[in-house]
Amino acid sequence: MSSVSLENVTKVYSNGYEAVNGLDLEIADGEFMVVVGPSGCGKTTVLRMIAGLENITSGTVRFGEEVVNDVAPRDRDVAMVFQSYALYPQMTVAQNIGFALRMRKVPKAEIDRRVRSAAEVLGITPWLDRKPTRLSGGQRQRVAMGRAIVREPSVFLMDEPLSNLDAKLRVQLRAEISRVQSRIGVATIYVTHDQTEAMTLGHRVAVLRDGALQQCDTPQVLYDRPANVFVAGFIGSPSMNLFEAQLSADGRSVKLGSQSIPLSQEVVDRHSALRRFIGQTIVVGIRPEDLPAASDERPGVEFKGDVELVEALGSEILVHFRTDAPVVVPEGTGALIDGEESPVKATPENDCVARIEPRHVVHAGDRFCFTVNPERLEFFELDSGITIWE
Amino acid sequence: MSLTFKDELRAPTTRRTRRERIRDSQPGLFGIRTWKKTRLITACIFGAISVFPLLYMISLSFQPTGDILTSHPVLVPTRPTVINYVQAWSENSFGRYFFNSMEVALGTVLITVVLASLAAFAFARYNFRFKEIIFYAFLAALAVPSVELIIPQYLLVLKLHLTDSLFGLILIYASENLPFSIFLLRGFFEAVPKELEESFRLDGARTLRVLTRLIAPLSIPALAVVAMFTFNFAWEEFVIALTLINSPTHRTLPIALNFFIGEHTTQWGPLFAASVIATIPSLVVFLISQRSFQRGVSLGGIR
Repeated sequence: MSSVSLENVTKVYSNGYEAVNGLDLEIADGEFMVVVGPSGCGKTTVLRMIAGLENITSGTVRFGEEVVNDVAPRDRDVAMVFQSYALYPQMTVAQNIGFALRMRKVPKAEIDRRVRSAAEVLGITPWLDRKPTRLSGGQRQRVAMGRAIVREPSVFLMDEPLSNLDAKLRVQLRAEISRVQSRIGVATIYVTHDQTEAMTLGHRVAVLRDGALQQCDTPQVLYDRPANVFVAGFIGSPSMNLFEAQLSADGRSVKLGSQSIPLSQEVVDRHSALRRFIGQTIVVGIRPEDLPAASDERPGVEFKGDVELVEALGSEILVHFRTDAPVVVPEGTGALIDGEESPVKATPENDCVARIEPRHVVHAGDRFCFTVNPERLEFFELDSGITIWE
Repeated sequence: MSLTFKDELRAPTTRRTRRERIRDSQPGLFGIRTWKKTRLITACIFGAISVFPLLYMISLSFQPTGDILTSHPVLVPTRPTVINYVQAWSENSFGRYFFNSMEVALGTVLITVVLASLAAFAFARYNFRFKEIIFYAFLAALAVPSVELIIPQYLLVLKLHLTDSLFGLILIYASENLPFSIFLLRGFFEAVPKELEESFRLDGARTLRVLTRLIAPLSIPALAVVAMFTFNFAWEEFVIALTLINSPTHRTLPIALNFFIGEHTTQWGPLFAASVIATIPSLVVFLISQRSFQRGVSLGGIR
């Protein structure tokens, strides 16, 4: 068991492509760290560098106190679950799981015992004598997990282990992975492009974009206080609505198109840095769940939009609407902001989403009145996209 | 399309037999059944053509020399005898030549499979300078007819003091078989997903074990082909063996067979018997390899 730390780690491929740029990341012993980001953001490269499958161009990777930059993969004591599972087709399930132990010359009786107990944990005992080609996707995934946990490694790596499964199985195995990880209690680094997986699994989540770390914190902090528009757009499903807005001359209200939202003293105090942007254009973010329908018992600021599409999900209604305020779409989030459970957006541009209670009656074409709680607004700089806080 | 149409027209009015329905449901110029029949007959004709010499050889090996040299040859022996086999095995130290050949063939297979696997593994999995140039140099060797290489090979073996030795023969045979074997194995080795190898290494395997425990087992069909071709080559090679081997004790089977053909007389009966004996190992190797192909194919679908 050990912690993992990456210091200023950079990876430049031989063709000049910079996959990871100056990454600093600390994973405590026993921590479940999820690395998330759109495809091509370098997250798999990070994992492969920790495993030793990829050379590090510059920087340091440490396991505990030991620098492992030049340690061969086999001597790092890491276990990895691959996206394709990488089960050995010529071996049975039991042989697959026990292979690493055989390589370590563990006595046969001990191997048997550990394979059986791992199989029991994962519920794969009935298939121990089968070849992997005769298993379903979910079963193969469990075998891959079993192969990793049976070794009792000091670091556990998972590279999009659920992405080849159907949605239902994914939800089921997600819970199982979480259970297994807390049981074995080793530092785990889990790579995914699915923000739902990231939010539900990670003790902490590192958001990566173009090989650079955007933010690394607990899921709740990422959700509540995103460091920039990219994280704001990436975390949460459906993603946060981001508008270009004008901060008034007195700094007490923001103007979204033709609609104005007054800011209370509390809000202004909390976001003290807002003072620097008086009279300027900034980005205002509103989460879909912070846009309930206006009603008598819920006082707040009215915010109107033209409804374009209504998606009734039973427990809630997703209202896609449009306002006259320009919408900001952070680069790189466009294709991936929709997690598996969220519906596909009909109009990605200028499209805003609100999540309202199912008892309301909404139709496409309506002009609908939402409520905004100014305390729940997020503010970002227009140019850099960085959050405006204190 | 037209058949379906016809079916619809006929179906309500006439009841057809099951046979008719099957025939009509099968599309094609003659229908699948006719096509299958044609295919079977063609296969039988070609099969008979290739099997006939083998059968005739076996038949003649059981006939006394007098019966062989008649103007009315028969396929089924009229006076069957095993005297040819007794004679073939006991005269001219035929048994010794048989085992010489076995030694050479198995040695060649061993060296070829090991060296070709190592080379193909390097070509398939590593990047090094001049990799492709070296690879094509190997392939270029295939373009040179083996007969043209006899003199250089002889000189080489002479320098190594390996003339008239079975080991020298094994080396030459292996070198003849390596280019094609490397070419074949490289393709197979490259098809093994990289992630399997990475997982193997993370599980604690070193490079050699990646080859012996992962890539080789997954490439059994290719290894079987290499082993079979190499065995047959070494088993039946004549010209090189005749050039390199001088002493009677080191002769291989093809040379020994040649000794049944004398300057003035040929011992036809024993020659055929010896030929039959010489064919058996090739058949056995073929049958074993064939089982390996099937086992390998069933391993497919790696992902």
